[in-house]
Amino acid sequence: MRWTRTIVAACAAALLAVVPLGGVHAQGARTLLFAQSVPVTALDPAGASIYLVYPAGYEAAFLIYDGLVRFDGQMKIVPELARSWSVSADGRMWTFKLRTGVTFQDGTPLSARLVAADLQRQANPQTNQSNRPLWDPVSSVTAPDDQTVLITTKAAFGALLNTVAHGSALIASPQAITQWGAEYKLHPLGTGPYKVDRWDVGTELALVRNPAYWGPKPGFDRMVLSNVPDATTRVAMLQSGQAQVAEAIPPENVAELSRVPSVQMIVKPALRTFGMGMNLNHPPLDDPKVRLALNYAVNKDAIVRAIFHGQATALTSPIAPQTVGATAVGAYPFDPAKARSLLAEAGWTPGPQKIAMKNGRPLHLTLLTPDGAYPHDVEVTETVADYLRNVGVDATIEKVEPAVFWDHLLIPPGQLTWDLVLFGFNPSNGDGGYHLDSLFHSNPDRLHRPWVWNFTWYTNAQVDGWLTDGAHAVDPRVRAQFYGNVQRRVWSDAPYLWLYGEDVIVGASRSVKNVEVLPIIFTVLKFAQP
Amino acid sequence: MIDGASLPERGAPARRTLARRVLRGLVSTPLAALGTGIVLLYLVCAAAAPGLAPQNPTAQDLSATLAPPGAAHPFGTDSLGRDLLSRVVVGARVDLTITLVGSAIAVLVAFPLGLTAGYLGGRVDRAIAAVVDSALTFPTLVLAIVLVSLVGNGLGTMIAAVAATTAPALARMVRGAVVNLATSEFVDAARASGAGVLRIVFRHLLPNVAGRAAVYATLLASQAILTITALGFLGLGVQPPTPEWGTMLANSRTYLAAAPYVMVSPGAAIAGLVLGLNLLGGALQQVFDPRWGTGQTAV
Amino acid sequence: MLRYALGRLLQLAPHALLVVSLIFVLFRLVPGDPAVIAAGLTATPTQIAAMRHALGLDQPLWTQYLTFLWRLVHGDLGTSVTFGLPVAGVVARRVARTAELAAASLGLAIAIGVPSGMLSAVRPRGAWSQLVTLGVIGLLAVPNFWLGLLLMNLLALRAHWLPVAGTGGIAFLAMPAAAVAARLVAVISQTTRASLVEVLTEDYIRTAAAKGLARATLLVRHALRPALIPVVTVIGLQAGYLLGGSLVIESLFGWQGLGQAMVTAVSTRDYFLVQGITVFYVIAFLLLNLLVDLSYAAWDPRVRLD
Repeated sequence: MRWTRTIVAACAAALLAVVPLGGVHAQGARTLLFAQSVPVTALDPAGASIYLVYPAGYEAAFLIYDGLVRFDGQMKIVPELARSWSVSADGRMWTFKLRTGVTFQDGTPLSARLVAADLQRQANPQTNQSNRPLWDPVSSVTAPDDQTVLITTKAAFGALLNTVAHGSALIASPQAITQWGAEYKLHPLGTGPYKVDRWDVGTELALVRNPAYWGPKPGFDRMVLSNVPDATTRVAMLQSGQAQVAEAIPPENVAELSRVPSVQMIVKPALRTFGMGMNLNHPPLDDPKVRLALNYAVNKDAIVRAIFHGQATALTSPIAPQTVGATAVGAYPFDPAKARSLLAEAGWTPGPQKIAMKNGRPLHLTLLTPDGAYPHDVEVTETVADYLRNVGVDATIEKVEPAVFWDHLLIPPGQLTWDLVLFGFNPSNGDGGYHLDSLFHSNPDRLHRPWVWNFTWYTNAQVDGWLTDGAHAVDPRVRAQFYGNVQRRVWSDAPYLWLYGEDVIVGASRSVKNVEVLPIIFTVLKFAQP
Repeated sequence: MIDGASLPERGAPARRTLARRVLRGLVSTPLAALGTGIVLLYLVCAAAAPGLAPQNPTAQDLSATLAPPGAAHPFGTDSLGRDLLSRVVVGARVDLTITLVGSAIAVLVAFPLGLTAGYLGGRVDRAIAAVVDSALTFPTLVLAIVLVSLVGNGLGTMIAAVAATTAPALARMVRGAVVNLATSEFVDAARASGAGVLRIVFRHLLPNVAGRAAVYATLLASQAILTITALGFLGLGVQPPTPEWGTMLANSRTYLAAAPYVMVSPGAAIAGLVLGLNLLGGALQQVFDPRWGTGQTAV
Repeated sequence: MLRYALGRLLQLAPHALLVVSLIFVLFRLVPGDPAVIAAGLTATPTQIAAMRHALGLDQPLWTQYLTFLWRLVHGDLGTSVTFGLPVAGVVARRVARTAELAAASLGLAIAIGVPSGMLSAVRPRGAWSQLVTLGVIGLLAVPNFWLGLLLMNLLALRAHWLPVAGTGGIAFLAMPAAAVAARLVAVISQTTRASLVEVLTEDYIRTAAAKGLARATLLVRHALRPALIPVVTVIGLQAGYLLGGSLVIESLFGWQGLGQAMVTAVSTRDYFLVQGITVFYVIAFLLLNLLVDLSYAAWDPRVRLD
């Protein structure tokens, strides 16, 4: 059998000769690997943001940049580059006092002039096309002296602080922006605790600590943000310790990860709320009784339990409870009998095969869902369809890829093809007004796409009035009152089949401290310590 | 070695012998019988699917999600409480239909192309080869994905994907076999004795090629199953809530640690069918190319 | 031989043109407006129109086609909206990884497949041969993504022998390569066995054996070389599987190659990236096929006369 051995040896040698060229990642002392679900492709806070790379880009940006203020873990607005701030009596002028001794990562000292120049760029629609609802109310940003930044708004704008705490208000070096021009997004320069070392765009971003950081000493020598789109892989990396932090953990993996002694799970109610938006242009969804019936037909608690394993909350308002201005306005408990009777009142009575009929036509609804844009999106839609079938609706599902999903929503009303669509909205500035305005403010006309996210084409003049009054009020209590009215009205008008608010689920190694997870779905590792 | 059926004098009796040989070949060895049995089992499941399934495959039971295999649910339930056994059985109908129809279309397209190209040769051959090779330069899954983006998800697209990814390989194989035979002596002899093109093609080439092509087609079908389940796995399969093995496998991934049994049945279903088809192909190969595997070697 | 090779290379050009044109046509039929996606969600109709102009999508189809070909020849495949980089750049960064995976899978498959095929050809009724038969049958049947999941579960999650996922050295490459190689092992082993059996029945082998030539010499020096031709062919046929079959495996194991980029690109409708990667795969495939054909022609002179 000599030849057997010879052959085997030759082949083994051939195999070993195929040694890969790639090197193992240099995991030196105190490196943190953060597994993200989407890639970081641009690091300009004012860049044309592509929805799909949320939140990875912002999570990286929070490491490289600072803002005047920031959100803490409880969504409280706390000082960062600004020591203090005040607002004028008419609510239009906001004064921020800057901290001293701060430098950009290239050594340039931070001054009010540079901050104002940067924020002016964000406010200008020519240079910043993203997040316009947050910046349109701003009319100018100036620096009366070296330590003071003055933001003036066109009318009183109560949510300005939320804008300033938002990711798009992070302070980038205006000089670097001028120097790099359109390429700036690949060469970010901020004042934050970490700076870019090596960047394989879209794949992996490696940061090193900034020794000149003004704040608490950065905990890690290196931070690696790795794009791991597959959830199962992220979970596995966390379990094996390959990744120290992993975001967007599916709810069904929380139990098993909690059993791993070296891993801690951070689960928080998030501000993103989900519902099935209704196409109010398609009968019979223009009939309020039908809309209410649909809301009673679905068992939201069962969905929360079975699909999200308890890591979600059934909604009692169009916006999440932790959103600024939220108030519980009611519930639509699971009541199929009531649903059927409401349908009957609207003229829909059971026909052949238990499908409701009216004037000889069956009650047929198409449910549109993306596949993979939201956690368990297809499963939730399948479940809703099942519940609707139970009360006599002939429900069919259309599933589309995330990239074309928005094309089905952001079009003029005449082109809408669906009846119900699964949609989740996250007010990334934490403000309820922003959430309600985006979804329920009337669109300017019916010839173009929705102004923001009102693709149900809901329109109510009173609601519009309250939204405007709320935006212009500065006193949080006054704002809450107006927004409370909006929530009550919209809830009872039911342009949505309201479902749940999800939890944001992040896993981290127990050896890492100060991992901040915000309800706006960002994981902030700025202050993480080993 | 020349297949006895190709000699012109032995018309009808040769065909009967061929059928009997095929049937005998299908059960000749334990593996062959196993393959035949498995494929038959799947075909029966697919044909009788809705009735055969113990429960409604789309009926949800949110109080019994991810139940382990037991009396009420022999394969367990999925994340929405749907019975897995029923879904696997109904999924057989979906995946088998796609494969069979797609393969049938592929055969209908590949044979004429391959025969023409192989026999006529020259410029015709090169022209057909250009088309076939163009299609063959697309990696299977990539072609399938592009097709799905064009036409949208659904049954029709997946059938088209099977046909598009199977026909070129089959055509190439048929052409190769014909080229081999066209240069062999008995075809020369037939030509010398005055036989026309059609007679040569149908009496001499086709029977010799058909057998081996059937083998190849069976093996291509088993690969097609893997392609369409991969499509389902990537989320490009049929619309929910229709059960399909690849999609079921994708949905089970996130429950790997919590409920590993959910991954077992769809994956086993795929592997089982592929196995059956491969064994069947092997059995057919014994019939049409008996030299392979007899072990009559001098060393 | 050289003349034949050059001739085939020249023949490749129109082939390549045909296939690339096919790709162009296919991708213009895709629904979903790339201008809308590239411009971003909050873009106004004016901005979308500007983006459409920038991408050249408002030109007549013929102009777009010629521009496409012109740019292709210059290595410009457009810009990827997902990565914000030129497509050619994305491909260049990731092709090495996919090549590594392909090479490792192929190497592994040859290392296991050829010896086992040989062993079962030489002793067709032996225990090893039965084992190989069963192994081949099993490996051909299992979907590689299922196998990948099983491996990940057993070797990484439970046994902690290997890292679960990621890109890097041999430890990260092992499981993905094994998952991709499984099918190849089966195919190579089967072909080696069948082909070697056939060669061993040839008269010249029998004559040499009768003359008393040692078994080892006979096998390696006389039988193996001709027996490996169909194996080479079969490997060539599997090139498509190697390139495309890694799509799912790369995503599963977080192996940052072209396959993973392709899957991401498809779901984000990154039009130019999908198109660019497809063009790349196709050209690579054509070249691989040419290589196989040339080696075939090197063995069998009759083929060159065609």
